[in-house]
Parts: sequence; structure tokens; C-alpha cells
Amino acid sequence: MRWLVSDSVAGVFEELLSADGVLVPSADEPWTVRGRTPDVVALPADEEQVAASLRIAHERGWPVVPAGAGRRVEARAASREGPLVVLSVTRLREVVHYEPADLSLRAGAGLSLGELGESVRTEGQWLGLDPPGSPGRTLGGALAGCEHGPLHAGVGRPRDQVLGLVLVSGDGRVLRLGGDVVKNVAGFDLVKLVVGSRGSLGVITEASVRLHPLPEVDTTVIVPCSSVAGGLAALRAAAAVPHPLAALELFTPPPSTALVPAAARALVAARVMGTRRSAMRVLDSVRKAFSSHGEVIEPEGLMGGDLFRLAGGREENALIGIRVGALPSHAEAALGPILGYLGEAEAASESREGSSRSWVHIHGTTGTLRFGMERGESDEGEPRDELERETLSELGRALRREGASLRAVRIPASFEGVAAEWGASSGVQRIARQIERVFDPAGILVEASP
Amino acid sequence: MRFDEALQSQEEAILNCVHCGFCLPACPTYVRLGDEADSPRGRLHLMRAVVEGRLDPGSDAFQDHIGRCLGCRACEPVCPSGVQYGMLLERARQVATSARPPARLTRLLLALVRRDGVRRLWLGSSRLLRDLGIPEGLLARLPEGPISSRMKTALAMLASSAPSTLSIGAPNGAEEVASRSGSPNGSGFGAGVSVGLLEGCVQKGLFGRVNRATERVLGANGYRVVSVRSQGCCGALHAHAGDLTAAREMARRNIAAFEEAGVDLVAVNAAGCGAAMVDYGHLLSGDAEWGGRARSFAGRVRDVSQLLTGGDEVLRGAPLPLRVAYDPPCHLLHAQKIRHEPLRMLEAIPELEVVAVPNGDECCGGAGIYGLTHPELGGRIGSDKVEAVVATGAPWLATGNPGCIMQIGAGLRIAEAKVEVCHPVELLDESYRRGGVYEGRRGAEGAASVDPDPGRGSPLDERAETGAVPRPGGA
Amino acid sequence: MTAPVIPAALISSLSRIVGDDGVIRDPERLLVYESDGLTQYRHAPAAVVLPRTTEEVAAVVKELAAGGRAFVARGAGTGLSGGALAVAGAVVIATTRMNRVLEVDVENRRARVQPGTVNSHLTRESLPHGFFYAPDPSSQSACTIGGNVAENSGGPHCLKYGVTSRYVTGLTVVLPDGEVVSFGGTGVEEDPYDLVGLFVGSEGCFGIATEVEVTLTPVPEAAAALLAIFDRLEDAARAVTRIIARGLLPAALEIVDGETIRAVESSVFAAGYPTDAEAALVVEFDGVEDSLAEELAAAEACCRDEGAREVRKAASDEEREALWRGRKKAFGAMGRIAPDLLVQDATVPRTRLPAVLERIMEIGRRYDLKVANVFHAGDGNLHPNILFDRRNREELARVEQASKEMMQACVDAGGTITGEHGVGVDKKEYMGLIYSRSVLETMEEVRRVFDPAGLSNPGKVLPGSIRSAIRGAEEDAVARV
Repeated sequence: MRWLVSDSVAGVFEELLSADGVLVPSADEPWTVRGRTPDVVALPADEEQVAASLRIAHERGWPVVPAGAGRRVEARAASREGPLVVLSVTRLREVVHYEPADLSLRAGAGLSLGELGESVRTEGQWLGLDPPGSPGRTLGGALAGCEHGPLHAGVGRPRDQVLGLVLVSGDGRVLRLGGDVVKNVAGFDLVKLVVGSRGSLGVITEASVRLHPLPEVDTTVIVPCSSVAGGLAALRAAAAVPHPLAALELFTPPPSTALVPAAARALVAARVMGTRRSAMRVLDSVRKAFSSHGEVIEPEGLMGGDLFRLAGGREENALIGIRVGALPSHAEAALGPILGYLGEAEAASESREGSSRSWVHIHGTTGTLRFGMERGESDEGEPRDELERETLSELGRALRREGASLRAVRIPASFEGVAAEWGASSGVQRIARQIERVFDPAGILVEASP
Repeated sequence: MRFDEALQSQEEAILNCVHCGFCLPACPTYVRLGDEADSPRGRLHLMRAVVEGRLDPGSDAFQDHIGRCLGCRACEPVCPSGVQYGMLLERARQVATSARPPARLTRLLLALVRRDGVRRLWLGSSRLLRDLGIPEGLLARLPEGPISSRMKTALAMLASSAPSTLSIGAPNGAEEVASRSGSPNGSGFGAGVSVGLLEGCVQKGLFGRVNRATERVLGANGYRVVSVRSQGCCGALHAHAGDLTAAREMARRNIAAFEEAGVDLVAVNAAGCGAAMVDYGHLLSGDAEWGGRARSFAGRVRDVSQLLTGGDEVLRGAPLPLRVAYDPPCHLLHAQKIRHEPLRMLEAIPELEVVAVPNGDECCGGAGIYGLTHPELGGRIGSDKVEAVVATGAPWLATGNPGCIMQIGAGLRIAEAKVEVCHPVELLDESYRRGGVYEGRRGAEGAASVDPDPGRGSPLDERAETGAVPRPGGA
Repeated sequence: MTAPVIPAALISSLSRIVGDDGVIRDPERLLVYESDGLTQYRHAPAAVVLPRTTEEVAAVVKELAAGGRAFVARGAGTGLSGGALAVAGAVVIATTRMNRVLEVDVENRRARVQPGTVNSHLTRESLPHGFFYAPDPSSQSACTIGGNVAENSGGPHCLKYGVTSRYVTGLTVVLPDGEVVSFGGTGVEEDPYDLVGLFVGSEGCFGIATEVEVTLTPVPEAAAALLAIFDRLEDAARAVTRIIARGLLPAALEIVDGETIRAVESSVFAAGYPTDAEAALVVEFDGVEDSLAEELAAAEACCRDEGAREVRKAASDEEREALWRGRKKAFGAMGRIAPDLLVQDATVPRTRLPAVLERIMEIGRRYDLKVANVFHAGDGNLHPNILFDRRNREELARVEQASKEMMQACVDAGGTITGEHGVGVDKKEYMGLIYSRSVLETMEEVRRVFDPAGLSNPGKVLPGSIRSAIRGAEEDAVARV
């Protein structure tokens, strides 16, 4: 009798949001939450509608998955009872306020990063947010997600780009947090709590972000290396350059692009921004640092972020994506076990399907490693378990013994148990659960994967 | 409740403190104890509470915290509001001592330096003991223990006032023999300016050699050094202890003595005395008869390093290939804001390598009689200084104040560190001596000698043998 | 004012933890703890405890929590919002003996410090390795990292480098019940929320940070600065907007107004700024040496376009120091010309600076008060300072009224009530100007997650009406003198 439930859920939302604010997924309008089709997708048109939708769900105890533009939502919804509601903010895409000389912009959470970037580029500005993924990702999604891209060493983490935001809490309270000014210490910094909360505290409907002037020069220098060890040496050398780099990453294997010789096992890329004169100096130092580790390539016409976006694409589409935190001095030590694990997992998957490819990305200045397996042809629908749970669990234990910490960014539902082994201390967990109760007393919000 | 006029009249000066706290990390007692009441801002707050009638100056709080101040005045240069902390501290000490008499030891020590006869007897016998090597002998035999530690400090301080090995091979002039020729010289930048040297009390009693060295180097640079007969102790110790009555009496005596001598400038080689004398104007500000004279006197007080670096470059001497750590006395650096002059003075010595003591701006814990009145805290501050000095690796330490020489010297002695301590002017003097500056040379490029001693030329020094005296600035 | 009585049994338990010399209880000795950098308020604590380690802090807090006794952490007491004021019979836990730099980890570009470490001491320890600690509040020579964490402190160079929260990567925290937890850390990915970000700026209401991990920044290769002199304050403010709009990214953009210039120049701190000017703008760039000259030239052009009558440039450290002198000595110099100074702090969008400054000056004139502005113009962070004499009751009333109106003017312009000094006791009643009741209630609920009993720095940040559910009347009885 599932359709009946759906009907009534859709009816309730239609009453709140009118017909064009409600979508019932179908074969023509596919939406999935980890393989499960939601009963209804709510598409509120404004903050009040978001609040009304959440109040209803709060009263009735309906699980809600906050979403941006993506129609394939990775959220831990498998175990939830009751009708499943996706609340998408894609209709909240208005630029509320933009005064270029203030270097800040306030916009609806549904505005895509691509559109936002376009509108500020005409004013000679840019937004320092580079979550892995397509330009279609929404502002709200980028802030709610816990992922930061390669730029965070150069311009700061996503949370450093946010001046204020509007959060509609799990029980439908509209909370206007922070403000529009670059320095603000009034009250507790709930903005920091919300950024990276993966939808577990509420739905971000609007955000005010800091912008940066477009640099005169934004370019990328790369060095393909024939071995991972060679890549690590190049990474170390570039990290020691005494000038700030916008980004510095090692990719193994290199993302597939014509720029990189097929034989390369690793690619190190440095992104440099600045005035022409300063960029020339910095590029000089980077070239010198790279030169003894391979042939340095300065691809003509490659915009600063292009290569990083290419690599980010495989992170976004990963079946499994895991961040490993380590002190930079310990990052290399963590790499061995990870490569071992990936080799094993890949071998296992190849014997069956031959479609999975694994990758490791290392951040040059912070010691963060991301690794994962790309999604194969048949990965839609039910998760597969060719990445043996016990092997991953063993890897986690080995890394944690070395002082590293892990966080699953994307993971198949059947691996949630493994990811749970990597949790924070009990004190931190307790605080986290209590904070969730403050924002979402009925516990209706379904946080993004894992 | 009664509160003393001494602080009441300074309410505006206390209110200059905006409570910003910039002084806290500069204060050696606060840094070690962590109690705000032991910080300049805290002490000013207590003074303010007394003025507001909220705090009894006889209370333990006021007595302890005002008493525990070193008086190093490291808080003054970092104060954005220019609070005259040193002056206020003296007023606060006066209020404190009038509410409750100071400890016996403090009274005893102050009494010892106050009367000429008593002082001469005390310092004379101390010097005799020192020169006989008694303190050194006793130091080795004292048992460990709290009582003997204070005694140990005292003995080590006395032992540290002894001449260093700097001028070994050179005859040491008798300590108290006055030998001022006052011969004018037209060529040095002193250019015949007449100066009278404050001989001091402890300085005169235990460091007569530094006074003689000062006279010689001033003379060599063209100053006319005039004897000032009826001078006495500067009164600094009394002022710091809050006995402003005695301090004023001493100030008046010195003002009169130097006025009578008719000198252009007053030379000081003890930072503590200098700091007290440049403040005579404040000290006697309410005095109708003496106020103006005190201000005029204060305006003429110069540290020896200022006199030697005030104009052209100082006369250069012979090389002294030594590595010397320099530690600035608080009353030079903070109270008189004299930072660079001593270093520039030492630049006149070829081949002398001067290194800074890490965290050198901090007090050594000597602070007049602090080491004796607050042995535990003074000891902690002192041992940090000793550690810093030893860390430089230099076998020599120069510092321009007798109290610091004895305090750091005592610390080094107790720590069995192989570092000798001297006054910077002694280094310059030795350089001149080796350079033959004092060998009676006059004329176009010659320097005057106040204490010519032909026997002093060192055979090791080539230039001494050839008799070539370097030009000022050349080498 | 007498301090609240504290039971002898509690004193002896505290003494057992930190030693006899680590507990101060004599009311007369506690007088010095009755104010922090904001002397408008006086409230002596019931006692002061001076622990040395995380374990001692935890034991002290446990002891106090068991007795239901409130507490407040205090560093150097340089705060300007009364954040370290001990209301409600609170015990001060002073971090002054926890002042060690535990580690300067060059390889990982980080340092670990105890909370009582003086901000500039961390930079002093890092410089030999080619690094510095970027947040530089004006009080950096005295204020502590722990205090910076509590207040999320800014400073002149935060324009380019960002404020404290950008640099704090990990915290060891003693929660208000005495439990020790650790938040974040370099290379720590596992925390479900950014609890470090939440804790920074929580003004001591969530517990006491006993160890702080921060990111160190490589010392820039070179720096250069200019000083532009203007006949009108608004022109200087417009020059700031022009510089930013031009795409330049200075390390600092600071304005000193005419009133302040004249105060500085008539004091012992004279810096050589012309006394007939109405504003001086300091612009500093740092980074790769090759581009500094052209950036400076571009900034100069912006200043001239807005009517700067004179521009002085500095390349050497000494020259830069000289240009900055008037800015750096401003606060103290004002202390010399008036017995009392109300230091305000608010941020507005940069483009609104000219209009807001005009309104502030108008308010000052209307209330017949002397107002002097020294501020971080590049961030839009205003500091209108009202000069007055507290002993004049009638003037004091005008000061309070004018101050309130200035706050409202900043809020009306889209700004906030505090950019870097914090809310403390001083501004909690202004919180309603910028936040809805539900936001304030949510803040209170989040605070209760950390501190259900309301013991950690009570009476701060949130308005009395929001907090009254807990210990209202008592803690709001804050004496203002």
C-alpha cells in the first residue's frame, strides 16, 4: 500500500508548496536516495516554504533528506521508517545582494557554483570554493558538504568563505546566522557548526560568502612522474617553496588527459595565483623544485583550476571515497597501506568486472589524502561489496595505529558499519548527538552519506 | 581610613593607566608568579584602590604586592599611555612604609648606606674581607639550607664585586685614592666640558676601580673631570624603599655639592644612581626652594655611555679580542631609555665581540637590595639571568650597574659558571691602556690622561710598543 | 566592594590541586581581578586559581562543578567587552601559569601552545624558523592565545590573513563538568562537526581550552607600506573602497582620523602626522618582493584619485615602523587626553564606511562628545572612541546614549555589533539588534549542550531575558561604575 502513503505525503506537500513545488519521482523524473526512490521531492520556492515543509515533517516524523541539484542523493536513508522526503533547494537561486566593492555576495542556496562564478567573474571576482564535482553543484550543497578541494591551503576552508547563512532547522525554525561583514564575533559561531554538517542540522536556504579579486595570473604547472615515490619527492620539493601556492596536489594515477604521458604513474600539480610579477617568481621556484623529478609541463591554455576539476570529477563519482587525515610528516607513511589496499581491491574487482579504477590524491601542504574507487558500469542501484569490508576495516585500523584518522565521504550502504569504526571520541560523539537534538529534536533529518 | 597625600596627589597620574595590560608580560614578577597583583597594572590598581579609600595601605595585600616589585621599570617603555610607574611606585612605597614600618633587614641596609661614617666603615670592612678572599673561603664551607642560602647570596655578591682578571698584569689603583687631574683637552669631543662624577656609595666602596676607569676614559675623550667633594649617596635605594624623606635629603646634598663644584655635566656610571638623579626634579617637585634647582640638576645628569657617544665617534683603543655578553641594566634601559649608547661605546674597542644576552631586557633580580629582601623570588629571576648569560657562551659579561654586577656575579659564582663580570667602561679603559692612550700623549691627536701611568703599557700590544694611538673612528 | 564568600572546604580542595600559592582568596588581593581591559565594570571574583596543567584545570573545574560554583577563565585580562569579568560569585581560573609553547613543529607548519602563551611570544618563537602566527590583535604583546580563542580575535593584518578561527586547528578543552575532550587537530578528519570553529569565539561559555594547536604562516619575503593624508575622513574611506575594488589585496588598511592624529601629535608619542589633516590611511602590502612596488603605486593612485593631499612611502622596516607609529600609539595617546575612553567596536560593509562615519560624527556632535576614530578600514571594522570623564555623571549618560545610537547606525547599514572585541557583558543587550529571538534561544541551547549547569562564564554573550531561565537575576546583577 506504499503508493497510498506516497499520495498522502505528496498531498500534504502540495497543499504547502502548490503543485509545482512537489514532484513524485517516476521513470521520467528519476530520483534516488541510495537506490531507494523517495516518496516525494519537495521543491520549496522560498525560505518560508522550506520552514513549513520541515515543520510538517517534524510533526509527523517523516525522514527528510536535504538535497541540492543532484538527483542521486547519497544519504543514509536505508534504515529509515516511514515515507521518505527529499527537500531540494534548487528553486532558491536568487542573488539576494551583491555589492562587488564589498567583496561579498548573498544568494539562495540553490544557486549553482557555476552560475555564481559566472556572475562574479564579470566583476573581476571569484569564490574560493572548489568542492570536487561539477559546476552544477549548489552553493548550499557545497557548504553543507564536508569536502574541501585543493584550494583550501591557498584561500582557506569552505567555512572561512562563509560570512553568514540562513538555516532552517529540523523543526522549521528560520535561523539567520552570522551576517554580511567580513569580521563578526557577535554570539556563538553557529555558522561554523552548520558548514560541513551534511544536512544533519537543517536546510541551508541562503548564504553570504566572501569573494576574492581575480588574480592577474592563475596557472598550473605539472610534472608527470614515472613512480609514486618520484611523485612524492616532487611534492615535497614543491611544498618547501617559500611562497604560498594556491594548490599543490599529487594524483596517482594521473587523471586521464592528453597532457600526461601514458607511462606516468603519478602527477604533481601546483596552482599559482597572483600578480604577474609575483606569479613569475613563484612559478620559477616551482619549476626549479619540480625539475629534478621529471619533465615540467606548463600546459598552454590550461586554466588554473582545470586539472584539479578533472581529478575532482573522479572523487565526485566515486563509489567509495575516503579522506585520510595525517600530519604532513606522516602522510607518506600512510600511503603504503592505502596503495596496498587499493591494489588488492582493484584486483578483486577486476577478476569480476574489470571496470573499477582506484586513485589516491595527496594534498601537498596539509597531509590530507583522499583515496577511492571509481564507480563502475553496474554500480547504480545496490552497492557492491568487492571492496571487502574486512580489508577496509583492517586498513582503517592500520592507519589509525599510525596516528592517521579517516572519514568516509562516499561509501556503499553495506560499508556504513566500517565507517562507524572511525568515529570520534565518545565525548565528541556525545556533544554531536546533543547538538543534533537542538536543531532537529525529532531526528527527521537524514544526513548525507555515509 | 587615612591615606597618604603622597598617592592622593597623584590620582591623575594613576588614572593615566587605561588598564590595557600591555605591561604584564614585561614584568618579571608577573611572568613568574602569574598573579595580576604582582604586575604593574595590578599594583596601579591597588594604588588606585588606596586612593579611592577601598584598600588599607597597611593591608597584607598592599604591603606584599607593592613590596614585591623589583622597581625595574620594564613596564614603562611598553606603556602606551606613558604612566610614570617608577615615580608612582616610590609614592606607594612611602604610603606603605608609613602605614607599616619595613622589615628590620631593609631598615638596617638603608641605615648602613645613609650615614657617611657608617657606610665607610661597613663598605671598608667588606672590601677588606673581600680582598682577603674570606667570602670565597666561606662560600665553599657553608652547609646547604635555607638560612645559609641568604648568607651565601650575600657572600657571593661581595666576592663578585672584586676586580676581574681583565687587567691582570696591570697594577690596580688603590680603590679609594682620588686621583683627578682634571686636565682639559681640546681635541676629544668632550672638548673641555667639565664633568663631575657621582662616586656613589656602593660604587665608591667596592667599585672604586670603575670610578677611576670612568675618569680616565672621560679624560681621554676630552672631558675635564672635576672633583666634587661633598657629594654623597644618590638616595636611590631609599626612594625605592619609600623613604622619600631620606632620599630628598640626599638629593639636596648632591645638588648643592655639584652646584658648588660648578660642573657643566654630572657623570654617572651606576645605572641605578643615574635613574634616581634624572628623577630629582620629580622627587623635589613640591619643594619651593629646591624644585627648580633639582630640575636643572637632573637635566645635566649623563650616563658615562652617553658622554662617550654624544657627539663624534668615541676615541678608539687597542684591540681586545674578547667575546663579551652585554646585559643592559634596567635602570639604564627602562628608566633612562639608554639602549644603544653602551653598545656604541664598546664599538670603539677593535676585535671586541659583543653578544646580546637572550631576553636581556629583563631584570637580573638584583634590584637594589631585592636579592636580600626577597631571596626566593630574586633567586629565581637571578638564576634565569645566569642561565641566559651562560647560554651566550661568552666568558665575559659587561653590565653598567654595581648591583647587577654583584647579583649576576653572585649567581654565576654559585652556579660555578666560568664567566667574569665587569663594567663596560672597564673594557674601554683596558683597551685604552693597552693602546697607550694614557701614556701622557698630548697634542694634535693625543688624549689626555687623568692618571698617567707609564708602566701600564702592555708588551703584548704592538701599538703600545710603537706608541701609535689610533685616530677616533679609525683602526 | 567585597567579594562573595567562598567555603573554606572548597578553598582547601583547590589548594590540594594547585598548591597553596595557586589559590588567592584574600578579598583585598582579589581587587585586581575586578576588571579586565574594560574598566567600566567591576566585579571581584570569589577566588582566583592558578593551575599549570590540563589535569589541574580539569580537577579544579570538577571541584567547582561539584559545588555548583561558577567559574571564568582569564588570560591577560586585556579584553574590551568584560568577557573575563567574574559575576555571580564566580571563581577566576587564570591561565597565566600555563604559558609554555609546547611545540613549534616546522615540518607540519603548526605549533601547540598552552592557553596562557602571549600571542607575540608565539611569533617570537616561530620567527627563527621562518614562520609567524598571523592573527595580530593590537594587544598582541600582552594578550594570550587562550583569550584570542575565546574572543576570536582579529587585528590589523587580518584583512589579508584572516582572524583567529582560521588559524586554530585543534583544541584540548576542559568541559564545564571537568571532562577533558579534544576537538580537531592537524590531520584529524573524524569530528562530525567543526567543533573547533564553534568553540573559537565562544567567550569562555563552552569550557576552558587548555591546549591550542595553531597553523603557522611563512614570513612573507618583503613588505612595503604607504601613508596617505586626507583633508576629509570620507575621502580616506572612499580610497579604501577604491583600493579593494581595484582588486588589490593589502595586508592592512588602517585609518586614523583627525581627532586622533591631533591627540597623538600633542602627546609624547608624536609620529609626525600633519595635525591639520582629517584622516591618515596606512596601506601595507606584503608577499613576493617583485610585485610590491607596483601594488604600492596602484594603491597610491587610488588614494590620489580620492583626494589624498600627500602620500609617503616606506620600503625599509624602519620607515614602515615610522609610518605605523601614529596608528599604533593612538589608543594610549587617547588615554592621556581624557580620563575615560569608551572603545567601541562594530563592523559595516566597506562601501558603507563613508556614510556610517558621517553618521557617527553627527551623533557625536549632537551629544556634544569628542569622538575619535582609529580603525581597521579594510575590514570595515570601526572603532569610534568616545572621550569623556566618568566623574561627570551627566556626560556619562550622554556617552551611553550616543554609543547606543552609533551601534544602531552600524546595524542599520548592514553591519554587526562587534567585529573583534566580543559581546561579553558589555554588548549582550545589543544582541537583539542583529539576531532573532529564535537564534538567541538556539545559541543558548547550544551553550547548554556544553554547560547544562550554566557554570562556565555566566552572565555573558546572551541577553538576560534569554538566560533568565537558568540563573538570571543573580548573574545579571553586574555592577557598572
